[in-house]
Amino acid sequence: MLFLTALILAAAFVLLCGGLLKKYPVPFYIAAFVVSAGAAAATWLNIREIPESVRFFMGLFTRGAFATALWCAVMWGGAFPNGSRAVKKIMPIRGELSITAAFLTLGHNIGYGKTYFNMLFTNAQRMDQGQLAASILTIAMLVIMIPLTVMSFPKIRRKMKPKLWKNIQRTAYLFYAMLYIHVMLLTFPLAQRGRDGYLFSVGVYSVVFIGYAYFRIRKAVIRACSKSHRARIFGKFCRILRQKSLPYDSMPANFFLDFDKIMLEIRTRRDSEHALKKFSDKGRIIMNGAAVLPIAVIVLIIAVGRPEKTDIPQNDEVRQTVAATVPETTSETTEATAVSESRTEISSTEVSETTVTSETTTQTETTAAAEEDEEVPEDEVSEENAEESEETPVEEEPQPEPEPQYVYNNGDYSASAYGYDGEVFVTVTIENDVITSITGHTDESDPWYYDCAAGQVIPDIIASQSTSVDAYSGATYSSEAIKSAVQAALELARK
Amino acid sequence: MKRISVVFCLTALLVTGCGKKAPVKGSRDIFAMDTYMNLQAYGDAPEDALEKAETEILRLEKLLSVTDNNSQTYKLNASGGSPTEVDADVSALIRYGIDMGKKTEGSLDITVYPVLREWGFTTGEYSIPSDRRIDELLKNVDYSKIILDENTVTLPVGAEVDFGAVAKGFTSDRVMEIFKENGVSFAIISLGGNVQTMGRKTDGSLWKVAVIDPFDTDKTLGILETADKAVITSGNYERYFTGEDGRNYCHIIDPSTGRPAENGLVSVTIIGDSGLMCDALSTAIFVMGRDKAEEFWRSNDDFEMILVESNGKIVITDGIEDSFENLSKLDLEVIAHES
Repeated sequence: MLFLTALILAAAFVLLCGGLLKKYPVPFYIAAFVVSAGAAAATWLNIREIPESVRFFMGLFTRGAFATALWCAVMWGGAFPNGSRAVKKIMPIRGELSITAAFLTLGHNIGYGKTYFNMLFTNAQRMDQGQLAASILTIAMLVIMIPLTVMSFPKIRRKMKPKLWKNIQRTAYLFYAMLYIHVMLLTFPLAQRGRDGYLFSVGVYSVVFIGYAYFRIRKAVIRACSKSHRARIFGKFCRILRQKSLPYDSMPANFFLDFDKIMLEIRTRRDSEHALKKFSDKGRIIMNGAAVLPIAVIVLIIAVGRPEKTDIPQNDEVRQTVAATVPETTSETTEATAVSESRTEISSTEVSETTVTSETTTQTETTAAAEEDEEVPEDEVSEENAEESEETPVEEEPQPEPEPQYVYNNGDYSASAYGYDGEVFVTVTIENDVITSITGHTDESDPWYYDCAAGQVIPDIIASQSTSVDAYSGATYSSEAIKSAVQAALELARK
Repeated sequence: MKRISVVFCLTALLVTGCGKKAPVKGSRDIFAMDTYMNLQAYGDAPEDALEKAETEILRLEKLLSVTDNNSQTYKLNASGGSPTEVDADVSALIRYGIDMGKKTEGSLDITVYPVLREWGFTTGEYSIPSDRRIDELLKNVDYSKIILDENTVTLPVGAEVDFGAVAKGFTSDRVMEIFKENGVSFAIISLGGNVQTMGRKTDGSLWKVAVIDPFDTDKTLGILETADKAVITSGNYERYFTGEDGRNYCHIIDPSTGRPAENGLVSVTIIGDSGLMCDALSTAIFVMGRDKAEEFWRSNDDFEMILVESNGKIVITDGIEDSFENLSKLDLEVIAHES
């Protein structure tokens, strides 16, 4: 019950305070720190005479339930389908949420650490197996959590190589798995002993964590299966990289070797568009088929956890969960960077087509062919967009306001285009035909290029209300992509 | 609804007799020559032209890369002093490199490659070479020692060439040729920030090319309105590394010292008809520094330039006085031919 409450509170927190958290993270960190310190102090002092309701509320923090719920929000941010509201809500504040959760987690650790770490180091044989394992696990989790949290601060993150950062952050999967095991080690035995509400807790935790594992892997599998979509452009990109390099602008030599390997792999997987759809469908089918698995595991865990069955399976079962979770996380790590394979396509072909139409329309010299064309890319873009636009901080769906005097619908529109070596995403907010804001981000391996270009292009576009500068002289990389993406977003907004 | 509007538009066209067909826009993104390229072409069938341009870009890249073991450039550099037959494009570039070397009195030297490599700009493994090492390498840096007979090139032993300072300009000229041959009437291309335009925009207005502010690459220094010109910028902000001594070293090597050029300029933009010339000059003039650059410009009337000095001043030539809008807070000085 505690965890369910925490989950509801965490969801409410993300929904209500997400924007504020992004804008002013520091007050939240301070608040988390204070709450955390309070929780630790309360645990240390072990005050007895507290009303049950207050105790329950305090438990959210002292027992780490709210922190765990925040971690769940962070986790699920990566598992929800791309383009879903939850993703749009969570992804932009993932870093801030993690830091807040980490502060709150530390409060729980310090509070309980007084008893359990103390025992662990002085009198370990007095601890029962579950507590012992959970305490050791906690130390391992702290070892992961603390550096990851430090690295989540933008100041630190900026100093790190993006790829390295991402790779290190992937140990978070291990952390999630450990978190589940930690919770299970403590609640499962109590559920088996028939302690009130614990079976319910085991169920809720299992649904949230195993469900997460399933959906995260599902996303990864579908993505991996449809990776060949990327092959056409990516393969070309690699081919070029392999052959070349002019000394005035070149990359480390081993870079090319790596790309050779990647290319080889991609070539073998290269396939027509049809096959790729089949691939991605295949992934979907495999995963849908596998959906039974997590449900079965959850049912099994709850069944085994039922107080009637008080005997042996406890440890075995726990081990089974470990087995179910750990290899899954490793399989996830192999995926990760590949975001939005299918969008690659839109960017280079469809986007340019939509641009054509927009211009011909404004010149009122529209030809039938161009007008016909419009239907295809527009639909595809919007479809793709609805499905896939991951990590795009959009809050509102297009609002159909029938105001015939305006060319564009009001609202937020997202689109993407292929940039330097990855996708560039933008969200354009339109109010009465005026672009009021453009936000964006990139999948490119080195966001530096994007940042440079975005800094130039976005203010320019807003200032001039169109993509009026035609080109940039000097080292620009993604600016064309940003412009293309904005253009595509505008096409979506067009009535 | 869409169909109705199509029919309506067609009817309107027929009724008004306005049969003029708008040029179709085609656009292509290419990753080549280690940079991101964007080509935009307007014509009857721009896709054909774009396809051919892309093929040519990839061909040139293969030909001109110094790091690709199979490139002609690589083979030439490994020729150990023996005469080597090369592709006409390679010999043309070498010829141009030698001429430009003479013209700029060595500010552009296509044989500076071994020094560039020593600094790590070709591999990303940056290091500051010792004075002795630089002197040693500089002995082989001299464009005038290249012997060129038709398509046969003889490099002195130890000398190596590279086309980093000219390849993109050469390529953008070639793309423009292909566009012209294939019915493209308006175009703007950017090969990693090397911009070249063909004609004007379809509405008859000039192309707006923004020049990046070298002090804050997030910002625009100014906007140049132009047509039928290449606008090519070299800046020390593009590729540099910070040495152990805390100083920044940029990728443009002064062939006379073997060290990153430090002659008071942070960015040089050259505007001219030929992408090749603009590319070569943007590097050469960066190396020259302002005074020499001014002198050079006065004795050549085939280009305009925008210089940004490290002291925070923009210097432009009078030929673009009316077409360049300064968007930065930096002071602007206009230099004229007759002064």
